[in-house]
Amino acid sequence: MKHKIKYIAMIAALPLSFDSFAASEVLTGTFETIKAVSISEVPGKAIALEGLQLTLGDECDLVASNDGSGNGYVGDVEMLLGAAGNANAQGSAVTAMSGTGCIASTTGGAIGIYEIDGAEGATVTVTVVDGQSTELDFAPNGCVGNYVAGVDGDSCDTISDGTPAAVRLAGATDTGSLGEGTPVPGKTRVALGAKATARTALTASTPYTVDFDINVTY
Amino acid sequence: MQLKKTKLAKQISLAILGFTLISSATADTFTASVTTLDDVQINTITGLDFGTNMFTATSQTCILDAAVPGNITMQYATTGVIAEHADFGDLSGSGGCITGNKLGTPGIYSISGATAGAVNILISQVSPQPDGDYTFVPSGCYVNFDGTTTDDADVCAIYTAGTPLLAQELADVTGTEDNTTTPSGASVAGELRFSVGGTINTGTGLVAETPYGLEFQVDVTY
Repeated sequence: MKHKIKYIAMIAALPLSFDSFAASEVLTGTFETIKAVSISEVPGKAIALEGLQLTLGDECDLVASNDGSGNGYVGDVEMLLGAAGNANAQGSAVTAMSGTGCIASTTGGAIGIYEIDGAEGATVTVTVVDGQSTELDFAPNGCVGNYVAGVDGDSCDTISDGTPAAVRLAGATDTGSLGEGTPVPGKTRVALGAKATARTALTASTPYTVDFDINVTY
Repeated sequence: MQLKKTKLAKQISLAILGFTLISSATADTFTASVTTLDDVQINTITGLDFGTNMFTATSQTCILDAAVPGNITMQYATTGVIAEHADFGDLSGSGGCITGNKLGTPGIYSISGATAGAVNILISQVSPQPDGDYTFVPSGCYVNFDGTTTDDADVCAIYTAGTPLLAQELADVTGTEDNTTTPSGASVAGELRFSVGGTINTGTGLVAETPYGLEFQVDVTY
């Protein structure tokens, strides 16, 4: 009779012990936010046009490359690009002015260079918006660097009002092997020429300024 | 008179014999032992990390793929090797993060306990998260052992956060849980692995260049 009591007691204790066989844990992981994206004018590289005549409707063109080649390209070195195929040097007409109502010149213009800074290897969408003042319409256009991960292969993609560009910022392993520019992680550059059109009769020997926007978003 | 004495002696002997029989009955206490199951433990094999890829934009999603880690990482066997999928560790989503291949690191965890024991597993989200109003819903796969050696039907099955996985078998004795045809990725006795990726919703308060913690809960019972 004592034996029976013992066995029953043991069997009863068994299910009670199950309660201790449990694991409940809050496990953890991590993530980190990326660097905020910003854009600034490269010092000394503001866009400038010279030679616009004075009559309403006169226009001047500073033609910048929209594909990373040609006479209006500022060059892979300036753009920090490791291009595909071959290095692209600065073109022969990066300061040339032309257009109806413009005094043609080979030296009067200056292509604007703007630098975007953000997370390495991130893709950003760059949008250029035409500007306008009381005296001028201003339509910038050109190209923006787009990086391919690794060695070379980078391009300069067209950009203008209405034509946004989705480009990859340089990554940590991006390099150029062809003697061209040197990618800087987290950066890309925008090169812009423009067409300026007089909206009113202008005054001779007078500098006019006009604002325009470059928008960059991840 | 002599005869009478003899009878008396026999009667006395019988009486003594009878007493002896009564005193041979006994009762004693015996000891039996019951050994409890091995306790359940959850171990981190690889920590979960979305990397430095998150945007600060509000209410956007970022998804870390952890669906197919492969049978070697997850320690189960099949009729053929289940390689890690190309998109394992990829980030995707709508505006929550940089997207691309292998940008994140899915978490790999093991549950250890009794060999061939059956456990109930619940992987669920934690709210609030430790560093802000963002949310995290874990997702991935867990190894589902079939408990036999005659075929190779073990799989890493997709789980849904908040849905209990009932009576999941921890691996049999090492070498007997379906690993006869695929030695690599062999199971380990008493273990079961699961992977964790998931979806982050960025909420409203993320700050650029800042590390954040993620939390999720795992409950395991026999």
